[in-house]
Amino acid sequence: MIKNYLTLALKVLRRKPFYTFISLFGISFTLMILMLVTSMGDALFGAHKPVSDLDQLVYTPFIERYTEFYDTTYTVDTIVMDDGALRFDSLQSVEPNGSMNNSNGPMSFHFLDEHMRDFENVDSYTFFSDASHIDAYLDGRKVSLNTYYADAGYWQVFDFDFIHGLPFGPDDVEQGNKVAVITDRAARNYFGEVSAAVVGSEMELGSERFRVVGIVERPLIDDRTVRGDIFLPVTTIDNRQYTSTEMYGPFQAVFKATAPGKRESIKQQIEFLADNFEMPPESDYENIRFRPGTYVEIFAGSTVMENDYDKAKLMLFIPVAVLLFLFLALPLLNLINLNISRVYERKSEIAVRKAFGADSRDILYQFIFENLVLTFIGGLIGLALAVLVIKYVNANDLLGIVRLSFSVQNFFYFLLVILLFGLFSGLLPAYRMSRTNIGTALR
Amino acid sequence: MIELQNISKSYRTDTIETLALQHMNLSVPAGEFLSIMGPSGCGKSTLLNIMGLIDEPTEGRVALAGKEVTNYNGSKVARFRNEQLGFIFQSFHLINDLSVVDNVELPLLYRRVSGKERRRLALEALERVGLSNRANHFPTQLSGGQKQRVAIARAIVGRPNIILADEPTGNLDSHMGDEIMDILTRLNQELGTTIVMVTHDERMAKKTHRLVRLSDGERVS
Amino acid sequence: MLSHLLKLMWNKRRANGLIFLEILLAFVVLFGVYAFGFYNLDRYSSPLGFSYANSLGVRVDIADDLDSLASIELQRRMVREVGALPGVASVSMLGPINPFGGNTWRTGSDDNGFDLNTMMVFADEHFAETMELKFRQGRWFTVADGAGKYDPIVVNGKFIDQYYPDRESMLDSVIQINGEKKIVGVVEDYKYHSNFAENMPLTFFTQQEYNPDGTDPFEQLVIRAEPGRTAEIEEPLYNLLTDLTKNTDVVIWNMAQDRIKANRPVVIPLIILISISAFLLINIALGLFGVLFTQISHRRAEIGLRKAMGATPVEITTQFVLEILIVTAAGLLLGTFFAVQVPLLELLPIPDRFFYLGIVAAIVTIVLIVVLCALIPSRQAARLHPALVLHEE
Repeated sequence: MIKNYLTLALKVLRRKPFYTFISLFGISFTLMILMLVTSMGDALFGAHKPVSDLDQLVYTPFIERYTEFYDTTYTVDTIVMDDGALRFDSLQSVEPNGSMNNSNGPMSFHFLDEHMRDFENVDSYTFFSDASHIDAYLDGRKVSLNTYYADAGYWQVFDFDFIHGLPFGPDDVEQGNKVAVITDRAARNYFGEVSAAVVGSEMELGSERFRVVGIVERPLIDDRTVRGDIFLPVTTIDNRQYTSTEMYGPFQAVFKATAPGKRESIKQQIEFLADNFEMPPESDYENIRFRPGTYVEIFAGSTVMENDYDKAKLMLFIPVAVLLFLFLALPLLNLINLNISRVYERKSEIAVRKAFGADSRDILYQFIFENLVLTFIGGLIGLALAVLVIKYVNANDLLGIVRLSFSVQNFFYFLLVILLFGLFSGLLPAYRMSRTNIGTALR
Repeated sequence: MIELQNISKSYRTDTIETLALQHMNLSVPAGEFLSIMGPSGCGKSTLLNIMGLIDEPTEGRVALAGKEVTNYNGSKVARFRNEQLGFIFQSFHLINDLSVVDNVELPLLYRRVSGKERRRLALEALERVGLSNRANHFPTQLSGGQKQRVAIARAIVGRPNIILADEPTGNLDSHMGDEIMDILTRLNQELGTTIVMVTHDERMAKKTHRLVRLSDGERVS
Repeated sequence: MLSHLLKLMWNKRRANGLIFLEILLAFVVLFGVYAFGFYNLDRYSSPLGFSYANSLGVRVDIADDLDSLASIELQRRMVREVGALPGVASVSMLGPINPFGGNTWRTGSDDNGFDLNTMMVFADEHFAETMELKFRQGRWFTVADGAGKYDPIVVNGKFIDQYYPDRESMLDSVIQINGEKKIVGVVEDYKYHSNFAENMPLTFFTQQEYNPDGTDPFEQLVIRAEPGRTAEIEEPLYNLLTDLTKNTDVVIWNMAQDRIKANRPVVIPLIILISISAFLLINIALGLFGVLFTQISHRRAEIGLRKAMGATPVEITTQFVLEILIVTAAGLLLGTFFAVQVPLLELLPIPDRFFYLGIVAAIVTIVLIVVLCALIPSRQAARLHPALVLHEE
């Protein structure tokens, strides 16, 4: 029966090239856009190396110091007593009036070292600085290097792919060894090759020389915690930075929880630290707070500039969802509309089928099936288009470093979407068709 | 083969009730070629629709091929139509998007018949109406007479016991009409199919076994 | 005729419901895209007011332990020695807010009961020359201005237009912005965030204002190269600056590329929105065309009848076009009702006129598409011969 439906559907589609074209146009482009959106979502929020444990990470990018201003209000109640005398009741209340002085930025190593080492439910953690930048000039060629200073924990939190060599370890960090882990791109730009021979070579960075101990694959994701070209032990940073006892500095912290569900506990411990923190008496500010968050929270917060992460997520994702809904609803409506208008056109066909023994269910199945065939063809075209667009985007760096990909998981989502699209756009028209009354249609 | 007892049919709109058939009794034995005549609006199409289970009577009972079918519901009716009945319409009602042979195969689609078998049966039916050379044409490429012959092939491909024909020659000139009548007569004789035909044409009616005349929803002969 | 058609459309409201919904949604999408597009187009059309094509931006790290005299001396040396490099046309130093850098500093002051809200930029005395700023009035501040009673400032044209529109000249006026300041010049424009930034009141301050005690030096430079020599001065520049600051943390970037990067947050969504809406429009147009084609070809008998009763082809065409326009109008009316809430309730911080422009443009676009899609099948139907269609039934 399926084969009959299939050949029949294809025949009908071939006989009406105009309608087939209109439908396919709409379906394929819509599904292509959907495809690209899923792929983008996956690239932005999916777990990719070296951030494979994305769902266990808690980011603490900065510290905020603030002083709240309070309004003091006196309320005076006047009460007239029975004897005509007046009595006064006064009440003083102090409430924050909404304005505050604040200042925020990343932290000093000293501060992190002193306060953020002993949290529970932490599998591993790292303090690192992503703020430095070194330009090395080789024979008139500029090699720009984003320089990260990191501790040994960095290589546990993030699972970089080492092409050659190994990460630096706790000993290197403790002794301040001048060793470096570089990305394959940095190796290619500086040494002209990515090979085992590079490991052990020296690099001249400013006035100092560093020995390469490992080459990692450059992460193709837009995550500021892993975007370095070169990674150096934290102890090799400018000594003033390393020993500074200020709160501010270039460092941030990332914690890997023992399980995704334990992230909340780490956040609470960080907030507890802030709540119970004794500010040094000479400080201009009274309180501190950190805004620790998961990757999605930090992303939403920085995109819409909102410090309350729950609110930020809503502010970011509701408009995106509405837009997506509109962009999907229109082609879907269009297809339903087209299909329904064709119900009338095919009334006599349906009536004849019924006269020769098709029952309503047969008709319903037939038209839904026809529509599914159409959506699948459209879906395949859309898939091809999406692959082309993804190739184009990747080849031209249109999204910067981010690479769109096409995973098996995406493909299954995609099949599901095609199926839903086909069902939705076919159901109402097919239902109307199946209800066609034979008597009137064959008059 | 067909038993109609005390059939009445009325159409109700908001204000008026129109009576299309009144207490009709009709019995058609197996193998008979029966024609029904009458002026426009006398209820002959309604009668045919009721026999074909396309329409339901307001009152009375219908039995086809020895089975009481008055209370058959949706899918049972569909099943029954598919196996027992073949239809021929005045305006052919071929599906323009399908080729001739696909049109003929249509009734078999709703049975469990393999694709090869369907094709064989359809070509055989086309052979019977003399159109096997047009199997892969499309309806729009055919003349009126040819279209009606395709429609007949479609009606007989499922080997139904009863064929119901609603003015099969009405849209055709007399020469083509005669051809169609010859085919129907031959079907009746060779396969023993019971045929009920509504017609306007006295000449065609004369070629059948028996003639029933209707007027204002009642049998007059 | 119209009331007849209204009745006809009302009776077919179930069949037309989907078209209505489609028009409504299409209107909402178009309205948003147009309003966003017009708003940004308007902003893009106002000039940046400075040159960037041959310029480089540089950030250096001056050691924190230098005392203020030494750090000022170092800055002077940097300007002098960079300016002497072959290929450099002009160089100046500036505070933390650089063109296309994405930073904003603002200050609000009360100037005799007058609320002055302005963006802040800190620069040295060479800045106007390096950036090739155009002056409406007056001049850039000089070293000599620093010795006067009031610190000098330069404001942009928008500052004057917004706060002192009626004053003939504000030159040499003393106003209250973080203390008393004297206006020595008015530049035409300085829209430094990106081409899509809003043109807002802005004030240039001297280094004195940025850091009175001299402990926080300027750490950015703008260097305008002679045309075509931007790339070749980078390496000597880097070597010179690492030598002078004794620090390898020297970042050099190309300002022309920085402009493109700064525009990207608007350009990319705009391109995506426009291409998706274009696709949606084509899709809707094709779909509508198909729907109308079937609907109209379905009513061939009705057309025959109307023609037999004396309707001319033009009347038939008009009828069909009007019919679909009625449904469209209903969708647009409801859409407009929703759309005007955006400026009325001030839901978004964008001037009202862009929303009204968006509404008008969306209506025009949709009506055009609908008429076009209705015209072709209607005219084809109107040409039918009445006898032919009636015979078919």
